[in-house]
Amino acid sequence: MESTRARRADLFDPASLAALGRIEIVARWIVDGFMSGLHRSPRKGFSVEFAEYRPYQAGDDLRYIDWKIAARSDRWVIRQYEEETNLRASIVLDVSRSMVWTGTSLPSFARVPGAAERLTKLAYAERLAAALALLMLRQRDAVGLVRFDDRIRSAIPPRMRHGQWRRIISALEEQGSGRASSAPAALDQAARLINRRGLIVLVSDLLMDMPDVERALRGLRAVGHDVTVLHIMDPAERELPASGEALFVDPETELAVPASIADVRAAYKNTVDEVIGEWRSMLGGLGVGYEVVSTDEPFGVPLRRAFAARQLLP
Amino acid sequence: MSFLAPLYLLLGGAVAVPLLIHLLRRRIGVRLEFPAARYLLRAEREHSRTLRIRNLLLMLLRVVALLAIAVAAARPIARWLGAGHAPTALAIVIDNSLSSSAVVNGRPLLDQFKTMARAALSSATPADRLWLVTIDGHVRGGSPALLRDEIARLEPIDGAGDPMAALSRAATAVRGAGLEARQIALVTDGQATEWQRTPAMADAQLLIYAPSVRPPVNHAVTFAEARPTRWTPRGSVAARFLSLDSTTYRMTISGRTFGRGTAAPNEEVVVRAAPPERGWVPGTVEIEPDELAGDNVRYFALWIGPAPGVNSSPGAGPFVKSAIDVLRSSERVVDGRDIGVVAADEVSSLPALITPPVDPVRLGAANRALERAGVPWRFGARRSGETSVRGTGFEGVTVTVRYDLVAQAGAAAETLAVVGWGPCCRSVSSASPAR
Repeated sequence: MESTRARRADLFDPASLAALGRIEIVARWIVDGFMSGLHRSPRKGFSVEFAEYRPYQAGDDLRYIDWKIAARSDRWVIRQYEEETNLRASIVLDVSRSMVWTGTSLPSFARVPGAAERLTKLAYAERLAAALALLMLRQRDAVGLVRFDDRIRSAIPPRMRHGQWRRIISALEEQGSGRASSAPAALDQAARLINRRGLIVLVSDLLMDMPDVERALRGLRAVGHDVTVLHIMDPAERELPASGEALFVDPETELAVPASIADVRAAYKNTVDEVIGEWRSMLGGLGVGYEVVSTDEPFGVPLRRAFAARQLLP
Repeated sequence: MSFLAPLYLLLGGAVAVPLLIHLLRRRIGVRLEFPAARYLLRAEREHSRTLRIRNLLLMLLRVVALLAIAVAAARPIARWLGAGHAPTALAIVIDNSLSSSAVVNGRPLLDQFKTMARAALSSATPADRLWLVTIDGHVRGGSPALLRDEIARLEPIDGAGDPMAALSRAATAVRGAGLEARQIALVTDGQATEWQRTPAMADAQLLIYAPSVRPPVNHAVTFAEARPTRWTPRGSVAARFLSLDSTTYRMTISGRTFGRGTAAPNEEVVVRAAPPERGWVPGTVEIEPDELAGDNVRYFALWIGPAPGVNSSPGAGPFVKSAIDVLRSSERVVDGRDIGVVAADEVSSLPALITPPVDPVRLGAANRALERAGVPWRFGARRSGETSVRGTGFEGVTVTVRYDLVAQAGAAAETLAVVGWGPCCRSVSSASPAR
C-alpha cells in the first residue's frame, strides 16, 4: 500500500511535482493518481451505458426486465447501466496580481534553514484548475474556464467535446495578470456561459471586497447554480514567518502597513482566522461550499474536496 | 544607600536607546510585497490598544533593565533588600565542641558547620572585618581566604568549651572594629547542655545557624578514676557510663585489657586489679563506638609500685599506730624504714610524718630535734578552741588544740590545710586515721 501511495502524483509536494513538467502533463498525473485512489462509483442508473445484470427484486421497474433472457431461461433479470450526467461546470480562476506571490519571497523566510520552495498561489491554482477540468471531462461533464483579474481575461464556455481540454490548457498558459481582482464580473460571465443550472468553482485568494462577492454569489445561487469556493492561501499568509520589521505593501492596492512581525504575529493570525470564519459563515449562509487550500498541500487534497462537491450533484 | 562606583551611574543614560527605539520604531525602511496587507492593517487596527500597551511595557522593561545594570555596576551599598551590605564587622563563632564530632546523616556535624561558616564568609566584601572564634574562645582575624583555611583546619575539641566566653570574645572583637554594622554568626548544634542560657549581645546582631538535625543517641564514659592513684601494687578502677540501656565496657592499663563487663546506665563499676606494670602508667575505660565517638573513651593515670615501708614510734601516739595498722592490713604500707611516723621530739631522719609532742612540755625538745633534722619549721604558740580545718580532704574536720607553724629561713613547703591563720593541725577530733 505504501508503494502505491508513493507513486500517486496527487499526493506529491506541489512544488516538486510542478517542476517535473508543464501544466497539461502535471494535471494528467494528478488526475491519474487521483482516479487510482478512488473506488468505482456504486451509483448505477438506467441510462445509455450498460453495466451488468442483476436478479429482479420486488419493486423494480418492469421496463428494465430483459425479456429475452426471461423467455430463454425463465429467469427475471434487470439490466443495469452506468449512471451518466450532463453536468455543466465552469472554473472561475483569479489571476490577479495578488495571486502571483509566494511566501518564500519574504527575506525572513529565506533565512529559515531547510525551508522548501513553494509555488505561487497562481501557479498552484492553475494546476489545480487543470486537474479539476480534466477530472470532470473524464466524468463526461462539460467544463469551461473563466480567468479574471480586474476584468475577464479569457472565457471558455463549458463543453464536453474533444479538444476542450486543450483549449483550457492553452488559456491557463496565457501570460499576464492585471492589478486588481473583480470576481463579481467574472462570476456573472461564468453564469452567462452556463445556460442552465450547473457547477461553478471559484479559485481565488479572496483578497477582494466581501460584499461584492456575496452579491454575485447570491445571484448565482438564485438561478440554481451550485457554487464551490476554493480559497487559495500561502502558509505565510496564514501565519507570519520568522521575525523582523518592514513596510508590508499590497501589490494590488499599494496599501502600505509598517509592522514588526514579532509584535503583530499573534494578532495577525487571529485576524486571518476571523476572516476565514467570516467567509465560511457568509458562504455557508448562501449554500456555497468553501474550502481553504494551502499552497503547500498536495493537489490531491483540494481536488478531493472539489470532487466531493461534484459528487453531491445529480 | 551609597555607591562604591558612582561613575557607573552614567550608564543610566543608555535608557535613551530604548526610548528612541520606541519613538522611532515606525520608521521602517525595508519594503516587502505582501498581498494580505489588508489583514495586517486590520490586525493592527483591532489590536492597536493591546499592541500599544505591549510596546509600552516592552519599552519600560528595557529601560528598567538598563537602569538595573547601571545601578548594579555602581555597586550600591545598603542594608535593605539584600542588595549588598554596609561594611560590617563579622565574627563567626563555630561550636567545635565535642558534640560537633557526632556523625549525622553519614557526615560529622562539624563538616556541616564548616559549610555554613563558609557560606557566611562568601558574602563578605573587602570592606568587612572578619573573625573566626572557636568554642574554646580562640580568636583569629583576617581575610576571607585566611579564615577559610582556618575553618578547614578546625577539629573538635575535648569537652564543651566555653560558649559564653567565645561569644563574649566575638562581641569584643566586633565592637573594637569601629564599624557601625556588627554581626556575630553563631554556628552550633544548639546542644542544651552547652547553651543553658540565652546569649545576649546588646551591641551586635546575633545570627544563629543551626542545622535541623536530630542528635544521635549518645553512649559515653562519664567517669573513670583509679582508686587510689597509687597502687601498691593493687588497686581498682571506677567508671560510670551514660546510655539508654546496659552497655559493654573494656578497661586497659598500658594498652593491656584487664577488665570487661556490662554496666547498667549510670551504675558505678569498680574493677580491681594488680597489674605487673610499675611506675606511672596510662589507662582507659572504653565502650563500643557510636556516632559521637569523642566520649567513648576516658583516660586516667596511676602509679604502680611496692607499698612504702613505714615505722612508727610510740611517741606518735595510739591514734597514729591504729591508722598505720589499718593501712598495713590493706597492704597499702608495709613495715620498713622508708618513712617514719614520729613525734617531733623524736625526729632523727627524714622523710617522716611528724606529729606534735603529746606533752607540751616537750615543745622545746621538739623544736631542737627539728633543727637537727634540718626541717625549716618550728612549733609556735599553743592555741585552744574548736576550729575548722580548711583544705582538700579535710572537709568537716575540726581541731581543739593547735600549734602555730613558724617558718625558718629557706622554708618551702606545700600547705595542705589551714587552721585559723596559719598552717597547722595538732589534734584531730573527727577524721579518718588515714588523714
